[in-house]
Formats: sequence, structure tokens, C-alpha cells
Amino acid sequence: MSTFDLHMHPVFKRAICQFEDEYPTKRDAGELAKHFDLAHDLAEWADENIFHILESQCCVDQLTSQKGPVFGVAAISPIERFFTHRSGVFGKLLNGSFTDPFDKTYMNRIREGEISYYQLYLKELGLYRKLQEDDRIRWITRKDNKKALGATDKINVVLGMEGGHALCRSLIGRPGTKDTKAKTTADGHTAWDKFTGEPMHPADGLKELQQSLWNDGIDLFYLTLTHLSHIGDQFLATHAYGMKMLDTPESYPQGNGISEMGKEVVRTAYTLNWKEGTKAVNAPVMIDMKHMGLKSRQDLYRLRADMGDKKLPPLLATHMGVTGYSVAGWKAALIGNTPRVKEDPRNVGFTIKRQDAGEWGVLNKKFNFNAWSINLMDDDIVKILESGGLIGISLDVRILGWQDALHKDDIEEFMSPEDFRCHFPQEYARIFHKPLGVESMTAEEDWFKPAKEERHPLALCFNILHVASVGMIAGIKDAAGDSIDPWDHICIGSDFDGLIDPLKNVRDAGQVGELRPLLMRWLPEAEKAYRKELAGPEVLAGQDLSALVEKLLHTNGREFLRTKWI
Amino acid sequence: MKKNSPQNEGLRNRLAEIGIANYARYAAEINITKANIQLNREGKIPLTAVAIDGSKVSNRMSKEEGFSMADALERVNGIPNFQDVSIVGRVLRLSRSVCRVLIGSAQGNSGFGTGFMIAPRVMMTNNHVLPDMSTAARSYAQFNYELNDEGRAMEPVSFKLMPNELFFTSSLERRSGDDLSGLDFTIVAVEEVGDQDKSRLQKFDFVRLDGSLGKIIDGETCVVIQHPKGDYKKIVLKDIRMITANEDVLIYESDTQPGSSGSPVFGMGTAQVVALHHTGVPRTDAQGNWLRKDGGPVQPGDPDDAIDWIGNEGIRISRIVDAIRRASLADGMDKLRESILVPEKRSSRVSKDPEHSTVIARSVFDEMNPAGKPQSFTPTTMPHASILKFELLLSKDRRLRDAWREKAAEVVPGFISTTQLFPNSTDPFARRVHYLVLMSDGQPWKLAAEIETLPYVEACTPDLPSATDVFGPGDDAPRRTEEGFLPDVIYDDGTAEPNEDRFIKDWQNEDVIKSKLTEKSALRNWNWRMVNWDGVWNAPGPLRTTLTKNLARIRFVQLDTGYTRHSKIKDNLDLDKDLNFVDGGADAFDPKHGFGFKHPGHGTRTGSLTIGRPSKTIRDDGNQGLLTNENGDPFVKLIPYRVAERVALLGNGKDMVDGARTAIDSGTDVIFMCMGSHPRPMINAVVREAYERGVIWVCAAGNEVETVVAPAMYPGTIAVAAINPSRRPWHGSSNGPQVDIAAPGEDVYVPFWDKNNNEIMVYGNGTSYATPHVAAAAVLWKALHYDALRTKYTKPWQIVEAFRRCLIASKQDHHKDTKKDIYGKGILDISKLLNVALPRLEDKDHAYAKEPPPDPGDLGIREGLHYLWNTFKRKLTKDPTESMATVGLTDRGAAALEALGALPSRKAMESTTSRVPIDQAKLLREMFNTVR
Repeated sequence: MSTFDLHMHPVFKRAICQFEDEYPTKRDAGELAKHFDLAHDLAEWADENIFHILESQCCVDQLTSQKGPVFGVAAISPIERFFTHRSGVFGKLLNGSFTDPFDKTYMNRIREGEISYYQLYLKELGLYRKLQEDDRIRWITRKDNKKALGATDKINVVLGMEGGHALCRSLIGRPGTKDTKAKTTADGHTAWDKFTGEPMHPADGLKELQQSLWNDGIDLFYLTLTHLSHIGDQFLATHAYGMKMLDTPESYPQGNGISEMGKEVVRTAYTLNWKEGTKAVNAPVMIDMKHMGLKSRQDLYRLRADMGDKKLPPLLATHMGVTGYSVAGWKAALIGNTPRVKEDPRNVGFTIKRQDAGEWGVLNKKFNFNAWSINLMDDDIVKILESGGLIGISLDVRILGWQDALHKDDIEEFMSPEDFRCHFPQEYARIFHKPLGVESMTAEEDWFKPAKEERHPLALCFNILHVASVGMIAGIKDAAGDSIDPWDHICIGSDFDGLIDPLKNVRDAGQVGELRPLLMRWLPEAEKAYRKELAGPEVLAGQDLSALVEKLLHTNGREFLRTKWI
Repeated sequence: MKKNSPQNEGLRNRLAEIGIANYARYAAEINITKANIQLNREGKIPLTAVAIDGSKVSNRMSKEEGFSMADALERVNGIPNFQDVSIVGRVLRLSRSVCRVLIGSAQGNSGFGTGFMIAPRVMMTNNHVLPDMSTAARSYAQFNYELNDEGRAMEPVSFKLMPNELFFTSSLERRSGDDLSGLDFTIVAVEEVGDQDKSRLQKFDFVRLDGSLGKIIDGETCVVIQHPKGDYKKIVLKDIRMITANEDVLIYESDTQPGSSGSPVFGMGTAQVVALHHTGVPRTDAQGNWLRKDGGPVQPGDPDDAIDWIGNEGIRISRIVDAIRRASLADGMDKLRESILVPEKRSSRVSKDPEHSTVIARSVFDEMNPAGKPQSFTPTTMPHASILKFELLLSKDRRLRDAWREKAAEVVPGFISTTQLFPNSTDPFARRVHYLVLMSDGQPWKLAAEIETLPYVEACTPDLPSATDVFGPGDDAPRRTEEGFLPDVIYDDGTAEPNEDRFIKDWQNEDVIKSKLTEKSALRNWNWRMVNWDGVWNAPGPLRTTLTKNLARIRFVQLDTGYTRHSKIKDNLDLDKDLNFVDGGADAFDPKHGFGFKHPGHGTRTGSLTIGRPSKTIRDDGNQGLLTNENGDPFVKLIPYRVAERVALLGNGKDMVDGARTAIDSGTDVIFMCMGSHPRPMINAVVREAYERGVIWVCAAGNEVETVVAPAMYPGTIAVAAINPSRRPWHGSSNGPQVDIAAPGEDVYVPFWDKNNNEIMVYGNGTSYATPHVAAAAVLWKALHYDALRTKYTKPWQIVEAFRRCLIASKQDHHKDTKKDIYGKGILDISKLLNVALPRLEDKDHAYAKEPPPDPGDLGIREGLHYLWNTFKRKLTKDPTESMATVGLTDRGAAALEALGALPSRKAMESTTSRVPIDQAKLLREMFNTVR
């Protein structure tokens, strides 16, 4: 029994618990494959709370414990500067004594701007290479595809980059300042050898990286253009607000969509070539829309249209949930009076009424999608399906949605003033008459503690069903005029070890197999509840449920790689 | 309160719902703290290790006045088991202030609550006890309803409530947009004489509210004094621990029925009231049903003590004090309010043995507080306090800077917030710049001096409104007729009259004018010819193609007074992106302009030189913007940011810094700013920030003050001086070695309004008008080289430096009479600028490579400079040699000015009445060089 995961971070926690000055790593592959243990007394009793986020979720050992071969994307996302400020519960947690296994050197280097994000990326990549050299993982690449995709054992991963900040070669926070490359022993890693520490335009850097990887038998599958913070050193696109646990200026989106530099990176990614001898081989890198602000996503569609999107690689949404709304519906669901101007940095806070997804089976309580614009609008779903793309549904309960309980009523999100004005021109005009609200004296630490129900697989089912339902209602055809079946374009993008709070029963990659019986059991239940709430077509009618679940958990992802990528 | 009426049941449920919600929201923290409390009870960890957030512990330590840190730590840790008798005595004494509230209704007494006195004549209870004035007017505060030490009931005394004298309430439910709501408290005046003869209210003590933080820490014991269900006064002596606090509420332990609404909650460490009790929090199941201690759901009729109470919730006193302070009250209520807010006299926190304690403190608190015990200074919480803002330069030592974040709330009286202005900056200097907001009635410069004594802070400067260098109508405009603004055409209200005849008379012999005397449109855009620009549409083919394509990619921001609807500019502004940093809203509209209050926007005039369009409605129209096409449509729209109150007054300096920061962060290519002020660290830092990010920031050198103003004086900007049609400097133009280039700034044709509110065009003066020419040139230059710049340069600052080099390489010469190199290297020549090759740049070409490290200078000098700058403009209009008065200066500021020769010595003043003339311009120039 195989599984496919469009977005996971198998060595992330190992990477940040020991900062190594040298390259390549001196660590043992066996150690790199191991669980990450939170050696703190509190972790024991602190079940059902934030420590979930820090537990090991998809280390190589956990992946290996799955019964069949594993396919997936190893996404590397260097820790951003804003994680290293000691503000908010999370900031204190990551930088305080609660997280003993985290290496403080790692956080300090980032905070003080003593290393580049690119070097951090290469170092984490180095850990994967160590695992690969020790035969614990196998790379899936366009060069050597058949072997990996046909594999019947092992962990088969393709490389991803989460956050364009990873392309920034200047010292963190010091644009244009040369990075000092760590001490090296001969290793034959082209990307590392080529890295001089000199700053480089991200589009050029991407080209160089992809060529180097190719030389070494690795292949970059996708680039997530933004991550969770505003990267002033190298601004590619306005990100979607997504981190309430950290209250630092960089958490708040700035700008107005994709920047000129960001556009160039996208154009470069879509048109990359490899040089093989004298021959140029088309080798585009796909763009993942996760974390991009709504305006940035709309800019991406426009940019693709300008480039002639028919011939471009498909769109990816690698670890997302849905808002349950079309953009128009989402705007209409803005709760009046909630928009407010926020200072330091200038932002607009606002709250959208969440869309009901259905009742929780026997519990007779509503489940709502997460209405934050970090999630997919119906328009996004249609765009992705039209492009023949792939949507990975996250296993993070905070992304999937909420129970409609008293304490989780409406949660404020933030947008840059320009983005907000772009989506809500009238509201914007109204709030300029309002005086600034008095800023709260302490950062609001709105800790979301999921209820038992929210960890239930129904939360995942509702998100999956919504994508299928939107796809069917839209009746999308591909370039050849054939109908696109949305069920072929949905998979799991767990985001394990990406600081997520996972679903019940699938707390880590070792338990992904459990999703089979759970989806079999709950998809039909969820469909009844969903249709009762939102009507729509019978998306499960005529489907062989077990084949469908197999597609979601495995075949869709692999087929996508086989047909759309390789 | 009356039990079992459905109405009360509903209220109780709603209260509990709020409690459950708060509890659930902080469940993660609560669980950790609860477990830690258990560990503390078992003796495994000290009390001070219970709290997740260490800053709370430091706040709490600061309340242990007169003890060294080590002793304080020991004291706090010992409290749960060993309680000083004095504290118990104090709590008992304060218990006298607690009263039973007899809630009145039209039908008589309708229930009970608890309340307590918070000033000699003011009682506080919950909003849900006394929701409105009419209920309060029928209700009573009853004291002495308790048993004496012999166990006999005492004689109760009741006092009428007087809501007409003082009444303020904050509703139970939070109302959107009203941050004084949702705190569930009511304060009301109490009659002075009670129902029993001669019983006077003053017999019963009152509890002084302390609005500061740190009265209790997580895990410390608290007690609730109350009249449970209207019964005799009770004090709960169980080991009740405080669990956690959020912004609004404290949550504390309870395994008994909840306290009575309106009771005070005292922290047993400090004997201070920490919260106003308002509800209990029952345990609930997944369906939201309340649970009994036996685990079953609560049934109707179950007694309160059968319910499994998991916590109690009270409103934080600090929040209440803040709300009382900010509440808008009916007339005549202020005096009683002040009686609540009068601070308790606090002894200053000086250790009995300072030397010894510092050593111990270091060893105990090494990690938390590397500097040892912070120094403190006189508390300044006063009834007339207002919000004050300061810019800070923190210590060079990173550990001290880290400590500041934790300590600021503790060591700064009236502390509100501290923000790092450039958390992501390249520049070690900028990263030390913070912004502090506090509440105080102190003199800002004196407070700054006190804050500077803290080890974390190197320099602290009040962020007070400052004059700009621009003379706005109504702002003491110069009256000398040879000056720029001629009083015969520009009036105090900012309107003007056309002055073309005078213009022609003055300049008809100059080359740039004399050939065009009959051709009005060419006459009016003489500035185009002066900078050698004929419009994008007249540029050679390839250049035109590149510019047309790339200009739309440029982001172009103006920092000024905002925009108006003058038809010269309104359609060419990008009003999807404008922002207002002065009034807090979103729209950069300049409210100083409007019918009936005519005041032409400075931003309108300066902006028009870049994107102004032809208009049929303007009489004698002319001189469209340099970045428009032949039809007047802009190749790039201008984004106005409003950062200045009005043309001659910069509000808080931070407004300008915020505008610049936002422009930088949103990927702006070119910023221009046509006003300036005296130097200050945060302006220095934000300029450096823009430079390092490759933002070309074009600034006016300054008007009438001779010396180059901030930000133009900083190396990261492009500083622009003004010239006239004779290629000579405008005499009002500031000058100095910092100026990079000159452009037309005297008698430039710009939009105005006349007395009848008609749109007109007038010839006006200022480096303000020279600046937009160079900004437009920067936009054209950047668009032309858009792709080349990214391959040629890897460091963002090189873009700014390359522009400066190209500007200078392509300059035209000044008139031969012009003094060399103080009005820039020459005059802007746009066509040539677009023809010079991009230079090679190395690290040594960085504008700050040879710049000495920034130095904020002595506080006295900073104060003197602020003072001198703001008075200087007034002086310009009057007798320039007039001696200055010292009113408003602190001793330190006066001493600094005296030492610099800016003030006659006070000794001399006493002995003689003669006044010494001072060259203030020269002095300013010197001081600008002292304070960078």
C-alpha cells in the first residue's frame, strides 16, 4: 500500500536541533532518520496542546514504518527571521527553555543575520543527500524518473522549496551583503560548490540551483513563492497572513501582490532549461500558491495569461484548505464593523464570517471552513483544475476549519492596506474616517486549541468534498476539450513537521495509512452533511469508494508527477 | 442575586459562557501553569518558575520595594507558605471597604452583589450588578454586614448611591469599536452620610487602584472578600492560586462556588487588589453542557457547589484603571474620577544595600537580566497624564537590548509599548532604534533624561511636533518683499493671485525665457527646457520604447501633506494606494484644503511637477508634469502618503518614518519628499534603511534656513537645491556640501487657488519645487535601466549610488557666479542623464563608507536643537537678531544652549539687560553637525 504526500518536511526538525558549521554534515544518517524528541518534563503531561506542533511528525523512520513505498515532496523552508523574535507564545517557545532540543545557535544566526537563507537551504538539502547516500531515501527526478516512480519499496522524494526567501543569498536582513560560506570538505555537491556567498538575483539563483541539482541527480519540483512572513530583503510577493502565534512586524502582509522581482522569478521558473552538454532541455519549476496572498494569486493568474497559460506547467496548491467561498461570496461575508486600521506596521484587520460546511454527524454541531484568505477560494480551485494542477489538502486542523463553538467565533486576519483596498474598496473608504484603535498593550496571543471534533477526519473530508464539488459544478474542460474530473486532482499535502497541529489518528507519517479506513468511513457521512448544508452535486455517486480513496492517498500524486511533470 | 428567576439564569449562563470562552482561549497556557502550580505545591519548582512569561515575574519583583533581587525572589517564593502578618493585617483592614450591594428595582430590593470602595466616595462593582443609572439610583451600599470577633452581627450601615455625581459603566458584552466595553464594571458615587445617625462613609476604608502591572504572578495566592449570595462578609482562606492573565481578565483557581459578583480579588503577595471578580468557569463537556463534580451533566435545581468549577475569572484592575482614565464622563464627574486615579505615594525602589544587592542580583538573575538590577526613577502616574512618545537608541550591547524588551514595562512608569522600528534592518545602528510610548504628566525632556539613566538606553529623545523648513501660509511666512513668497500675491489663507507679469518682468532677459515671451505654454514650462527634457514622446525611438514599457513598473511615492482634488493632479494620482500616516485613517486626502478653509496643499503643487496634467478648467493653465505624455496622461501614477500635518509642521517624526518604512517595505522605487526638519536618530535610520534597500529617496535641501535639513542632510538621500531662470541659486535655497544637484525652484509654475476658490497657476519658489524634477528624473532613469540594474549591481544601495553618479556625470554647469559645490555639482540635465553609462561601483563607494557612526549627541543639545529649530522660523519673520527666551527649556537644555553660545549666560542676564545678538543660522548649522 503506497502513499503520496505533496508537502512534508522529513528532516526539518533534525536540521534545527543541531547547527553544523561545516558542510557536508558530519552527522550519522541513522541519527538524521530518527524521531525528534522534546526532552522537557512538561511535554509529558501537556498532551493536546501546543507541543503537538513540536512532536516528530514525519522523520524518515516514521515514513519507513509505513507498510508500502512512500512518495512525496521533501519541502525545505529555512526558518525565517520572524520566528527568532521572542514575542508571542510561539516565539517564546521556540527561543526559550521549553524547546531544549532546538539549537540556539541556529536561531541566533538567523536573528543576527549571520547567514543567508540560501545557505540554510543547502545545508538542509545536505542532510537529505546524506540520507540518500546512505540509501534511506531515493530522489525522484525528471532525469531518472522510471526507476523512482516504479519503486516498490523505500522512500521516494522529490525536492520542493517552500518560500522564495530560500533563494536569497545575502545575509539575512542585509540585502546585498555577501554570506560567508561554511567550511567545506570535498563532496561533489555542485550547488554547494557553486555557492560563493555572493548575492544574486533570485531568478538567476534559481537557474543556477536547478542546473546544479540536475548535475547531481536531484530535481526541484516546485517553488512556494512566499512563506509566512514579509521578506523585506527580497520582496517577491505579498504573503497571506497565517501566523497568529507570532506577533512581529514581519507577520503582517505588505505590498500589493507579486512584485516585479517576483514576476521575474515566476517567469524564470516556468521557462527554465537545463543544459545537458550543448542541448537545452525544458525543465520548469512549478509554482505553489500556498501562502500567497489573494491578490498575489490573482496576479499569478494574470501573469500566466500574459505568458499564454496553455503551454505553462500546471498550478499547485500543496498543503491548503478551502474557505468554502467564491471570492465574491467571501467578500460578501465580511463582517461589518470589523475592518480596522492597525499600526506598526500599517495593516487592515478584518473578520470574515465562516462558511458552514455541514454538521458533525452525530454531534449535531456545525463545522466551518477556515475563512482566512490563506485558504483556497472556489475561483482558485477552478483555476487550478483548469490548469490540470494538483491540490494537496493539509492535515493541519487549523487550516481545515473549526467547530462553530463559542470560543472560536470570528478570528481576525490581516491584509496590507493596498490588498485590502483592492478587494474591499468601499469598506476601505469607510474605515479611513475611523480613528485608529488603541493598540493592545500586549500582543494578543490567541491560542487555538482544537477540540476533539476538530481533530476528526470529517474536517479533512469536508475540505476534500468542497474541492470536488466546486470542480464538478464548474464543469471544467482541459485544453483538448476533455472534461476534467476534479477527483483526479486532489491529494494529501500533510505539511508534517511544518509546525502543524495534525488531525486525530494521523498525528504522524507512520499513521497516514490510517487515512484509508477513515476516509472510507467518513467521506460518505461528510457528503450527506455537506450536501444538506451547501447542496451541490452528489460527488461520490458512481464512485468506487476504495479506488477513490486510493487516488487521494496515492495514485493522483504519482500520476501527476508521471503525466504532468516528467 | 436572586436565584432561579429565568432572567438571572440567563445572565448567569452568559457570564459563564464568557468565562468558558476566555478559559478555552488560554487553555494551553492554563494547562502548563496549572501543572507548574502542582509542581510548586509539591515543592519541586519555585513559585517564580511557574509563570510561562518571565516578564511577569520581573514586574512582580519590582513590587518588592526595598529588597534586593535575591531577597525579593526569596520573599516571593516563600509567600504561599509563610505570609507576613502585616499583609494579612492590611488585607483585613482593606476588607472594611467591601460592602454588600442591595440592588434596587421599582419593586424594592431585587438582589445582592458585592462592591468595594475605590476612592473616598466611589464604589465599584460589576456592570451586571448595577447595569444603569436608574438601578444605581435605587440601590444601596451596605457596610458592616458582618460578624464581629465575638461572632455577633454588627450594626450594618447603608449609604445611598449617587449616580448623578459619578456613574460610569462598561458593559458585560464587548461592543465592536468600543474598547471601553466588555469589562463588566460600574463605578458610582456614594452618599457621604449613611442611614444611621452620624455614620460617615469615611469610616470605611477604600482600596487604592494601581493601574500598573505586576501586582501578582501566575501561581501566587489570591483571596476574594465577598458577600456570597448576600450573606455576611466572608474571606476565602483556601490556597487559591492565580493561573493566568490575559489583557482583560485574570483567571484563578477555584474548586468552590464562584465568588460573589463585584468582589475584590487581592494578591496575597502585595496585598493589592488585582481584579474585580465577575464569574466562575464551570467544566463543560463537548456539547457545552455544564458538568457536576461527579461527572454528570448539571441538572436544573442542582446547587452551585455541586457544579465542577474549574476556575474563576476577574477583570484586571489595570484594564479598569485604563478604562476609567479614558472614559468620557458627563460634566462635573471629573473630580471624582480624579480621586480614583490619584496615585499612591510610592517610595522609590532603592535597595537598602545597593552595592551588595547588585552583585547578588547579577548572580541570581544572570540570564534574565545581565545588567543587574535596573535603576529606577520617580514614578509619574498622575491624573493629568497624557500619552508621550520617545525615540530611543538602545545600548550597543545586544544582551541589554534583549533585556529592554522584557524590562521596559517594569522600569518605565506609565509604560504603554516599545517597538523596534527597523527589526529587519541591515544597519546595526538602525536596529537599535526603538519607539517608546508611555503615559505621564511629566515634562518630556525631563522624562527623557530619566529614561537615559537606564542601562538599556543610550539616547532618549521626545518625539514632539517639529516645524518643517517650508513656509506655509499662515505659518509665519516671511514678509520681506524680496523673499520668495510675495505678500502681494500669496495670502495668509494660502490663496494666491496670478503673477505672470511680474515673472516676465523679472526674467525676460534670460536665455530660457526671452525667446518664448509670446508663447505662453513654453514660457510656463521653462523648467522643462532648463532640465533639458522634451517629454517621453519626443525621446528617440528606442529610448521612448523602453521608457513606455518600463515606466509602468515603477512605484513612485511622495511623502507630503497628502493630496487635494485640484484638477491639475487628481486624475494622475494612484488613489488605490495612498495612505495617511497623520490622522490614522487610510486616505491621504489633505483635510486642510476645503471650501471655507482654503489652504492649498503643498503636496498638490510639488506633485504637479511630476504628474500634473493639462486642465481646461484652469485659467492660464500650463506646465504639465515631466512624467506625463502628450495628452497629459501619466506614464506612472504618483502615490501620495500623507506624513505631515500641514506644510510647515511635521507632526510626530514617527509619522514620517512610518510612511517611509511602508514605502520601503512595499517595494517602492523612488520616494520624494519636499520638506525637512532638524536631524534626529530615527530619521537618520530610516534614510539609511531606504538606501540599503535601494530606494532612491530625493529630498529638498531646505528653504531659508541656509543649512541643509534632515533628511536631505543624510548621505543616503539625493539632496536638491533650487536655481532660477538665470541658472543662479534661488537665494532661499539651503546649501552645503551635502547637496547633490540643483533644479529649477524659483518661479516655477504650480497650481494654487484664488480668493474665490478658482483653480489657478502661480509662479512660486522653493527647493520643494526643485525636488520633483530630480524625482521625475530618477523615475525615468530607473525605468530605462530596469533590467540592466539587476544584472549590473548585486547590492541594492548601488542603485542609489549609480543614480547619484549618473546625475553628476550628466550635469550642466551653474551660472559662473555660483559659489562652487554648495548648490550641488551642477544643474539637472535629464536628456544627458539618460545617456550616460552605468558606473562600476565598489564597496568603498557606499555613501556611508566614510561617514562617522551616527551620534545622537547629548540630550541637552538635542533639546536645544529642537527648541532652536522651532523658534528659528518665528525669528525669520521678525527681528533676526532678537535674543531668545528660555521659556520651555529644561535646565539641561538651557545649559547646553548656553555652552554653545546660543544663549547669553544667565549670570550675565542678571547683571545687565543688554541682549547679545546671535547668528542663529550659523548656530543651527553647527548643531546639525553635532547631532547626527
